[in-house]
Amino acid sequence: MVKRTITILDPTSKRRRQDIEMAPRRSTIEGGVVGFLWNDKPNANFLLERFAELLVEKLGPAEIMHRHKLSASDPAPEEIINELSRKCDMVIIASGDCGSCTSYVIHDAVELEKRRTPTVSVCTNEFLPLGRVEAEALNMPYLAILEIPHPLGGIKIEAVRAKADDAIGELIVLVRTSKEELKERSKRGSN
Amino acid sequence: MKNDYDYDMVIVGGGMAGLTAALYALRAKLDVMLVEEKTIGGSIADTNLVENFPCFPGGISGIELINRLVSQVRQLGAEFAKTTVTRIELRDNLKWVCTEEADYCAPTIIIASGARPRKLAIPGEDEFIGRGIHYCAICDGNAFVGGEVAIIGGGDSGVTGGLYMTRIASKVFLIEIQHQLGATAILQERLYANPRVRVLCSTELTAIGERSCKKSLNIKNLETGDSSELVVDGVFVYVGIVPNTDICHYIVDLDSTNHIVVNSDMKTSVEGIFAAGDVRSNSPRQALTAAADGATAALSAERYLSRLSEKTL
Repeated sequence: MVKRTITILDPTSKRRRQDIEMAPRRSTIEGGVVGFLWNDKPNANFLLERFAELLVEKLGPAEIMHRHKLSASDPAPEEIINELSRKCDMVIIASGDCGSCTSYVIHDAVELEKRRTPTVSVCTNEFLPLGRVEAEALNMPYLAILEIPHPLGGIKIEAVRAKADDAIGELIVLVRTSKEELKERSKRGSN
Repeated sequence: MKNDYDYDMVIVGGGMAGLTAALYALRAKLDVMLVEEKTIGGSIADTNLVENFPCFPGGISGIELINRLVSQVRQLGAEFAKTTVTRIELRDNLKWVCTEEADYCAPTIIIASGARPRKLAIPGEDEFIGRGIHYCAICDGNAFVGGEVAIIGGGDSGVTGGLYMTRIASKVFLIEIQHQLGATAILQERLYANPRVRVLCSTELTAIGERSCKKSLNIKNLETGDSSELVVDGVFVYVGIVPNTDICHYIVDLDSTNHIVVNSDMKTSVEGIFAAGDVRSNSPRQALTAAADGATAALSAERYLSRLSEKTL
């Protein structure tokens, strides 16, 4: 009998990671609940407070909810993420203005998006590239990230509020942008 | 390589060593996955100014250095995963990097998992972590604008952290247990010249408490044996590092301080597994040497893969 060798080929491709679906976004937050997650970075609280004032004035959410995590270089506790996800229609997170805090701002945003709560993360321009890489590494490359000028810490409160005033237009755009449009913006190189 | 593997190489750790290893491996057209648990860029991303990296007179900010390196690596098509590595194991004659997300199989692994700050292990430390006790001045220093802080540890990291805090705080106490600082001479010179700094050598921090929303430090003068109280707004601890070898201590040989033993090619005791950066034994713990380690490890891994390919042909 002739001995034959059979070679079996595996037709599957190598394991590759896949993007995680972002949360659906509403076209408006009027009458909704907007959450603000402060990561304990200095002045990020004042920035978020000013954003809250401006959003109430311009977009009319029914309720504002502020939450605070105690360490910028750790993930937000699960109970905070779950509560924000349960109660909010949109969450704004600040601030990514150092390496580890940027990493965990993005991490928290991805956790909220996974729970179907849309987010906008705030990073300073120096840390925005890192924020983008972190989002990509967490399989959510089109995450909405708002860029503000560095630095945020160590400046006067009036200067912090001025940064919020300057960035509110872009924040509103990001709040209103659909996830499909975020993808397109990202491909075009916009935040 | 043959398709038995998910990647040609899995790099554990995305700091300077891991990113540079990725750079070299990608230029060699290897299929690479880089896994990082915390911050891509590692501790350099939290460094205010890197003054001793060649080609940057006047220094370069840590984040700028990392942004450049990440951009360089991404141009080559690097794939990053943000997840926790739970263990590295040898299974079915293959090498596996197991993560919370997936297990990745590769013929070569570069462990560049870095190190974490060593704790003081004194009463009160755990209680106040993140609430007055910190391990990174650049991350958390701005919480103490105009205040008084203590830096624990007089090595390069402690003195650099102390100098950074002189720009923010009104007073910086630098506490060193040895009778003199261990930092590089140029850093010491700057520290001693700064009027906001008071250096306390031969001084041990023995406990941390709270007094009127401030931190109360019990300090002991080791020359006189006298104990006293120092009240500050915040404390930054720089007393060394602990290598992140929990994921591999049962596979590769470690030295007495739990760093991975490597030879000059960054080879570990296991064929096909390499180590680079702060996690390896006798690392000088510099951004530049971490980069050099990463390059050496990637080149060695590439040679190993070539030999493996020849064998399987």
